[in-house]
Amino acid sequence: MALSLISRLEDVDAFMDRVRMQIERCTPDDPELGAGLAGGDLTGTQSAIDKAAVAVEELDYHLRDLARAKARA
Amino acid sequence: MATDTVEKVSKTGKAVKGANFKNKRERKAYRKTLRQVIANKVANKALDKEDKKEQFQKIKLVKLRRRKIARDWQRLVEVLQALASEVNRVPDRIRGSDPRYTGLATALCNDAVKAAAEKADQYAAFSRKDVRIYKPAGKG
Repeated sequence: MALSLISRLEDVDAFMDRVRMQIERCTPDDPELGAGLAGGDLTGTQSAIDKAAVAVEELDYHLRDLARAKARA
Repeated sequence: MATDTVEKVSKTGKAVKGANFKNKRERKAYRKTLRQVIANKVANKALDKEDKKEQFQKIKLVKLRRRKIARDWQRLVEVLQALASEVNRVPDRIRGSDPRYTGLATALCNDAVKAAAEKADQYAAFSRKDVRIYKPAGKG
């Protein structure tokens, strides 16, 4: 369970990076995209995803602790 | 007046300039220069056509790229949804998991999915709009 949570987070990170690279690569030929006419400000979306990522990581640590405690008992 | 002109013409033995066609040799020489001008105009037209072709190719590329970005956004949303559903199932799957952690993670994941889906929709709409090409900053 814990492993799959982290791997899904990594998927999210990979796709965010992919979108970022695409936008960066297209900006010289496409000034409208560079000016943010497509989606406006992305900071809100980014902070929402970051908060979710932190919460999921914390949940993952908690689940690992739980598994360790169970193994000890 | 009329008598004056008649006298002039009779003196040189030729018509006044502009009252008759030029002779064949002169006309041929003039036509040669005209031919050059027309060749230049045709070349310019060809260049314009080439420019237009390049511009349309550029527009096509930009459209394709925008659609690719919209697709990537959609995939990001799908991955986020997978993460959210996985987090939603944690309390059912793992006995003894702290509801504080699971509740917070669930709420934040759902928020993230909502925010990303909104942006993905905006990008999809943007990728279907007309493309406007601006001149590069360096060229006039």
